[in-house]
Order: sequence, then C-alpha cells, then structure tokens
Amino acid sequence: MAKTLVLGLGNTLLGDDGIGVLVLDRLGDLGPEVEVVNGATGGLSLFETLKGFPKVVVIDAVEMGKAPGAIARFSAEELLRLPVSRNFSLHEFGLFEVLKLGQSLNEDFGHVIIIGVQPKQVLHLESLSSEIEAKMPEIVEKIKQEVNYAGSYA
Amino acid sequence: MSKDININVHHVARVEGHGNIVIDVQSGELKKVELQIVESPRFFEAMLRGRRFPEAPQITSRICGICAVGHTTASLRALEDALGIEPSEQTLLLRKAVLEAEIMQSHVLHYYFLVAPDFFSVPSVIPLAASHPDVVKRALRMKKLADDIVTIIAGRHPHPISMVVDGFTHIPTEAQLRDALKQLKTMLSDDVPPTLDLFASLKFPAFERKTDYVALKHPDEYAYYDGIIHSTETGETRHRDYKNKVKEEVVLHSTAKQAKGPFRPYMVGALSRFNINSDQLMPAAKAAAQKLGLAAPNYNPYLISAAQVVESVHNIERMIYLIEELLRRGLKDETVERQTIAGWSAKLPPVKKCWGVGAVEVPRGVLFHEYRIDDDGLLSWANCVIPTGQNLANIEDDMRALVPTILDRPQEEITLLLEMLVRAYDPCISCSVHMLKVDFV
Repeated sequence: MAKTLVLGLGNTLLGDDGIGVLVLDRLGDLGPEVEVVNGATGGLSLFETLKGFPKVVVIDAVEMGKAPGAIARFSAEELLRLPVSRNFSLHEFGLFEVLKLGQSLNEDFGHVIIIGVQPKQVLHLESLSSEIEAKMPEIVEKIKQEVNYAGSYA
Repeated sequence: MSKDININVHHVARVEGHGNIVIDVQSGELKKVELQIVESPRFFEAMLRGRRFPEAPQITSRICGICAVGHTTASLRALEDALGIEPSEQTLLLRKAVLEAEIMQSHVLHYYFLVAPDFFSVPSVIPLAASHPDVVKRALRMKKLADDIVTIIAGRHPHPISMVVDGFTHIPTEAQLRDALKQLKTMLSDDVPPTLDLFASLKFPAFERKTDYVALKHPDEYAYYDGIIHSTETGETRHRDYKNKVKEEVVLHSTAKQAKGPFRPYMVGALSRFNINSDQLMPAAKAAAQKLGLAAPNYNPYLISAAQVVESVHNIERMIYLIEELLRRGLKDETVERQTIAGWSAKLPPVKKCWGVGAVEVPRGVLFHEYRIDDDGLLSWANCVIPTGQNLANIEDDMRALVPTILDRPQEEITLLLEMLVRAYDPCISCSVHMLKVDFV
C-alpha cells in the first residue's frame, strides 16, 4: 500500500470549487509510494478513503476571505480547532465532519495536511477563473513539497 | 383548548436536502400544515429528451447519490420493458444482489446516522461517536460492506458503471463473491444481534394513523426488483398502468411535485413493504421483527425506521442466498454470446417506436421510470416518479392528525416530534425535487 494519499476535493461543475480535483491531472507521476485519489464531492465515503495512510495531503477550495488564488497550508488539528456550527445532513457531511468523526473514534488517519485555495467564484461553470488557473504551477509545487517532506510533523 | 402555536423549522436537519415544516395553530385550531420543499428543481426528464436510449441509466443514476443503483435499475427495466428484452438469469441474480446491497447501505445510514441521534438526545452522529464509539463503528462496518458489494458488482459506488441494457459490461470474480459471502455471514452473526438489541431498547413515539400502504408484490419473493403495484386500499395495478394509481400534482409550497393516489395520499417505503410482504421475509428478518415488536399491519409511521432495521437483516440474508446461487451456477462471461448495450459507446440496434415502464422498490419506496423511444433510438419523452414525492402528501396528513393530539406539549417537544416524523420517512429531498427545515409560523 502506498504511504501517502493525495486527495483532491471539489465539484468541477462549480467553477473554482473544482481546483482540488483539476490540479490532480497536473501532478504527473509521483511514484509508487503515492496514491492520487479524486474525492470529488465525497462525504462519509472519505472516512474509508483516509484510512491506513501515514500521510494525507488534501487539496480543496477553502473560503478564507483572502485574495483569489491565495494558498494556505494547515493541519487537520488546526482545522478541527475552528468553531463550526451547522446543520447536519449528508449533503453537508464533508472533510471537517469526517476528520471529526475520525477523532471521536480514535481512528488513526495519520498526518493530514490541507492545502486550501481561496476561490474567486463558486457558481455553475465548468472552468476555473484566470486568477486560480495562474496559480496552478504553484499549487502543484506545494503538493510535491508536502509529499516529499520527510521530516517529522511533531 | 385555545392555544396559538407557530412552528417554523427552517431546514430540518438529518434529512437529505432542504425542507421546511410550517405549522400554524390559532386558538387551538390547526390552520396550516405544510412540508415545504425548497430545493431547486433538477429537470432530469427534460435532460433525457433527445438522448440515445442506452444513456438513460447512466444519466438518471445521477438523480441520487444514495440510491443510484435503484435509479439505474428502474431505468434499465423501463428500457427493457419498451424493447422487449429479457435479461439472463445471471444478470437478474446480480441485479437483485446489488439492489439488496444498496437498500441495506441506505437503511443503515438512515437508522444509525440520521435517526439514532434523536434517541440519544444528541444533534448528530459526531457526539454519538464520542459517547458510543462501538455503535458508530458497527454502523460504519455495516455500511462499508454493503458499499463494497455495490462496488464489486456495479463497478463503482455509488454510481454504477457496469450495469447496462441486457446485462453487465463487467462481472465480479468468484473470489470477490466468496469474500463478500464470508463477510455477510460474519455480519449476520456478529453485528445484527447488537443492532437489534439497540433498536429494541429505543422507545419510538406512539402515534397511529392508518393510511393506504403501497408497494410492489411478487409471488416468489419479498418484492424489490419486480412485482405488481399493490395497494392495501385499492388493490392491484399493473406496472404499465401506474398512472392509474399515481397522480402527480404541483403544489405552491413545494418545488417537488406531490404524487398521490387518485382519491387520497398513500405511503411507500419500508413500512409499506413490511405491511404488505412481511410473510416473505427471510427467517432472521422475521425473528428481527418479532424482537422489535413489529407486526403487520402496523400504522405508526415512526416505526418506518424499525421496518428498515428488519429489512436490512433481510437484505443480508438475501445477498447470502443470491451470491450462493451465483456461485453454485458458476459465473459466465455472457457478453461473449450476447452484446450488452452500453451507454455512450453503444451502436444502436434497430428499434421501433416503443414505450416502457420500470417499477422498482428502492430504499424509500417504489420508483417509476417511464420512457418513450422513437424509431431513431432517441428518447422522446421521460417521466420519473420518486418515492419521496409520493410520501410528501401522506406526511402532511400525518402531521394534520398528530398536531391536535400533542398541542398540550411544549413547543420544543412538538417541533422535535414533527421533525422525527419527517425524518422517519427518510425523505430524499434533492432527488424528489425537490426537503427539510420546521417553520411553526
């Protein structure tokens, strides 16, 4: 089994929300130790996907209130510390809930790093805005750095 | 009693999609009961017009991310009904097994993840995972096995890729089926008993309202894949005559059409099926019903969840039976003898202008797909009648009967009872749209 999971999330029919999925095609061969998975709009099913990888790199569009294309890196622990309140339904069961469920069940998800990209527009559109498209090489580079990082996360 | 109650639950939680409950009581008199569906419409029927007929199962599977196998199956059956195609015995066994798997995963998801938190007084499965990790781990294990069986048979979960007109483009290996069989048997012996213990210990709200129960019925088996439309009030209707039983109607407060009987609303889903077909349940499922105190006929809609528990046990037993049957017969690569008609890649066979109907039981009730095919092989018209759409008017009738009996309770309790009622039906709003928040106005 591969040691690292690269997981792209998003909906390619919703403009910049698709960045996490679309960037996967630009990664090239990352070697046998890396598994690349298109998680698309998966909810609870991601729970099973995340299992068993010592390291997970998630790419997703994240609303951070920053300039379009801004890239942020944060860990699952940091994400889970954010105060979040929202209605529970499966349509809203996303990465946050999966990580929270994993935490509650003491599931060992290894080390999860999230690379968040600030979208410009999330609307019915099958293409990325130019600001996000222009950031693609930089996002690819960030993913590779993360995958190749051999140090300790502690 | 003169009392004013305004309930306005905006986006009921733990249902699939967005819906509101609006209740208006003035001086103790019930003025308004609405289950508002506020999802945007999807227009799948319009999307199908002008498409090549083999594409329909793959397009309509996208109506739902939970019962995609159900839509695919109804779509295939409508096409095969139109074209006069009778699939092989092996295809039928595989299709029945994958439908059982999907119904099981949907039921497990509903009774463990969406219903159970109400009984533990927690808002969602996440705090439940912290307080009862064994329960949530069991639920995840049961769902995973069902999902895995969908994957090995249909090629992908949730949206099938191997299921096409007249067969499968890919079939599982015998080793995969043997592995699934072993896991199903373990689940029946290890995970089913604690599930039954848990649900037998829950106290479901007491409420009864007899309605018209509608489900498919088949002489040989507890009907999911095939059968005649059976109503406890109006008798039997052939699948092609479904419109004699199902009248679709647009209501102002909902983006989902409501489908009713010609005279009054009816109920579809696990409790309807149980009320009509319980004598055909497999043995462990019958024992499960007894353990849960569920006997047919039962008129309490809150017990739809209990009927789902019973059905999920039946699903496991049926999968064991169907897989053993497949293994006993030996799997054959039938695509060598007879080409299946697969989606976008299909070279269309010559067709005459025709029409057909597929009626299939899916997790939430009976689903209808109806298509007209032109002599060029293109779909000229389509109609899909989704189970939740058939239940909406019946839920409103339940609320009309329930609210006057609980007016003396605190508003929070009334709200919770109404939300639990709607959740019991396991409404899949985005598919029927078209569901849940409670608005007591």
